[in-house]
Formats: sequence, structure tokens, C-alpha cells
Amino acid sequence: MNSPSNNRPGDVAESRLRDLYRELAVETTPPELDARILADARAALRDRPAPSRIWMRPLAVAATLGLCVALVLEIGTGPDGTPVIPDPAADTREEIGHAARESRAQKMGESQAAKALPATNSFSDAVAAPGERPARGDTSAAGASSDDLRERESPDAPSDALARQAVRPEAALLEEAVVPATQSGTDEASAGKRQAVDAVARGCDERATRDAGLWLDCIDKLEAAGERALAASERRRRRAAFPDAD
Amino acid sequence: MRNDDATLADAASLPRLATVAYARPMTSAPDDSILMRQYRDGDPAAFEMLYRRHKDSLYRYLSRLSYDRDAVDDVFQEVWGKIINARSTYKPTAKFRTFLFRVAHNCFIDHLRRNERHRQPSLQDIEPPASPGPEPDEQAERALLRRRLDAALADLPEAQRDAWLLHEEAGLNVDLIAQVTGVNRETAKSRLRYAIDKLRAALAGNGAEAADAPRRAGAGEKP
Repeated sequence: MNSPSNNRPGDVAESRLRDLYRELAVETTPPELDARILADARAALRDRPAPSRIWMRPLAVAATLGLCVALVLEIGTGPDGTPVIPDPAADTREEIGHAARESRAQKMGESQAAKALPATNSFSDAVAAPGERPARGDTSAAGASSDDLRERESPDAPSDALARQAVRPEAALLEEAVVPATQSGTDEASAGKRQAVDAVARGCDERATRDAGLWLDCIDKLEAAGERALAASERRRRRAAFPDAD
Repeated sequence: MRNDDATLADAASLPRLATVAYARPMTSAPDDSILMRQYRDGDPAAFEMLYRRHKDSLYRYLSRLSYDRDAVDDVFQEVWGKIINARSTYKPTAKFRTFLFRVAHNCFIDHLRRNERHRQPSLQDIEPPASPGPEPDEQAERALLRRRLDAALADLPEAQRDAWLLHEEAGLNVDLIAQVTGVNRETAKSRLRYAIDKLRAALAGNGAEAADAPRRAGAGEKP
């Protein structure tokens, strides 16, 4: 009832009052004040952060979260529940070993490389092979009859020399990479396995060739390792050395 | 009394000046909230349009609240500075005009608190410019009425003047006046009612109407 719009007798007077006020109230802002405020408005737009920066924040948060989740998933847990951190050096060793074998294969020729190199992928094979050269010489000295074996095991064979040259730079790298892993002292089992595979790789050593039974075991190991050509060569050598063994 | 009524009737019959208190925007003109969004997105022309749409009514509102030209300029600039800074957080939940005058009201209250020596308004502070059009006699008569209205406005208690100016300059209804000034609806309605009655009485040339106002307004309202 007391609302200005409901007071009917006062409506006319109120309307006149309003009209008079509109006549009265004609002040406007000074131009310099307008200019100042509009300049402030433009300056505020210039100072605002770029839209890319605004979007960078959620992007950075999302990337951080994704990285954390990926890291947690990558770590995983061991059998006893302890977190297991994957060894990136293992992958590196494997890759470098693979590269070394490929390089050797290129140098020695496909067929000879297939005979000379074991069908393993471990980095330790690639590292151990150059260092075991004298043992191969011993095997050769024991009187190998196979031509291909002789060629492979001869220290002066040109293809072998090339292979060594090819392997050497990678082996130098690998030795640096392998030092922490071998120094850990926890890899004795793998070291034993590596020696066995190395023995297979270079054929049967002198000790094995002294005994017909040990030699046969060695030949069996070669066959089991897929080195059939080498095994056949060793078998021929064994027959020559122990014609009455079988 | 009859003479005064005739004067008021003449005042109503005069053509309305172009500078109305709260001109409605054209239908083709973009909405205030759209302009604010465009300004937030980096369009200074949108702010300029928004500013030109509201600057005069806001300036008059502050001018009649303070009657101190320097203070008016300071508060006016402060208000628009806050609008500029609020561009990224502004949400069109209410009319931009309501938002603008609420900011202005708060800035003016802050200004009063900062400057306790807020001086009472006087007619020498703001001299209304002469409006062209009427004959010299009529012009003199309307000038007299305007002076009387201005004096009556200056004599109003601050809260009532604030309510009246929000009603006239911002075009706010009682609910929005209550919202802007932070009081309940009844208080806002009472303030506006008293302000109107006093101004009408002042223009009528006697205080009888103003004296009757409390009785008509109700027991709970105070002048």
C-alpha cells in the first residue's frame, strides 16, 4: 500500500517530481575522467595473462598426475610386497648386445655369424665374447678338424679380426654399463649361466675333450643350444679322438 | 498551493530532455553481460560501450550522494576500477546495473569511512546547468523548482537520498534497493517513501506534506 507505485493520488505528483529531477540531473562525467577510465580498461587488458598461460596450469597438473600414475604402475611390487624398481640398464644392455651381435654378423657373414654367435639376447654374451678369445685359441690348438671351426677360431682369421673391431667399441661401452650390475654381487647364478653359454659358444673346451663322456655332454649341450653345426663338428672330432667310445 | 500545482503541471508538460535518468538500451544493442564477457575476452570497445551506457547515471548518483566534486571523481574512478578488475570473475547472476550500483554504494560507504570529515552538501557545489527551450519566465520558474528540488535532495538523510537516487538513477525497485544497500525490504521501502514525500513537500513549497508522511507511511517507519 505504501509502495510508491501503489499510491495513486501521489502518482501524478511523483511523476512530476521525477520529470523535474530529470531536468535537474543533467551532469555528465568530465572528458578527462572518461579518458582516464577507458585508458585503465585498455591497460588492464594488456596486463592480463595470456590465454595460453591460463590453460597451461591444468595441463601441467594433468601431466604431473599422469607422470605420477605411470611411475607408480611402472614400479610395481615384488613377491614380498616391496616396491620393485625396473633396471633401465638391463634394457640398455640387451639393446647394445643385440646391436653388437648384428654388427658382428654383418662383418662375419650371415652363415658364419650364425655358427659363431649363440642364440641369446643377453648383454653379457656380447661383452664376454671378445674377452674369451684366448680360450677359443686353446680349442683351436686342441686339434680341431673342422674347417669352418678353424676359420672361426683362428686369431688371424680376417673375418674374426673384423668382427672384433666391430664389437670393440660397443664392448667398451658395455663394460662401463655392466660394471654396476656385476658389482652388485647378487648375480652369481646369471654369471654361472653366462659361463656355460660361453662354453657352448666356443665349442667344447680342452677339459671336455679329454674325456669321451664329458665331450658327449658338451655336444649334447651344443645341440640343446641349437648349435647343430658346431655339435656335428664336435661329434666328428670326438669320433676321431675316441673311435671306440661308442 | 494552486500556483505550485500549476507549476508542477507545467513541468510535466515540458518535453523530456534527452538526458533521461536511466535510458533503456536499444533492442539491437548487446546486453550488458555480453559486453562484459566481450571485454573479459579482450575487447576494449565492449567496455567503452558499457561505460558510456552507464557512466552518466552513476556519476549523477555519486554526485548527489557526496556533493564533493573531487570525492565524486575519486569514487567514480574507484568503482570502474573495480568493475575492470572483476571482469574475469563477473557472473551475470543479476543485472549488470544492479551490480554496478552495489559496487558504487559500497565504494561510497568506504569513502565516507575513510574521510570522516564528509561535508554536508550545499547548492554551491553543483550548479545545475540551464536547460534550453522554455521562455525566460518559464525558465526562471523551472530553475527555481530545480534549485528547490536540489536543496530538498541535499537535506534528505543520507539513507533516504541513497534510496531515492537508486530508484531514479539506477531504476531499481524496492527489492533491489534493499539488496544493494544491505537492508531488508521494509526498510528500503520506508526510506524511499519518506524521500518521495519530503521531495514532494519541498516542491509544493511547504512542509505540511512532509510532516504528514510518517503518519501515512506506517507506524514502523522512521523519517
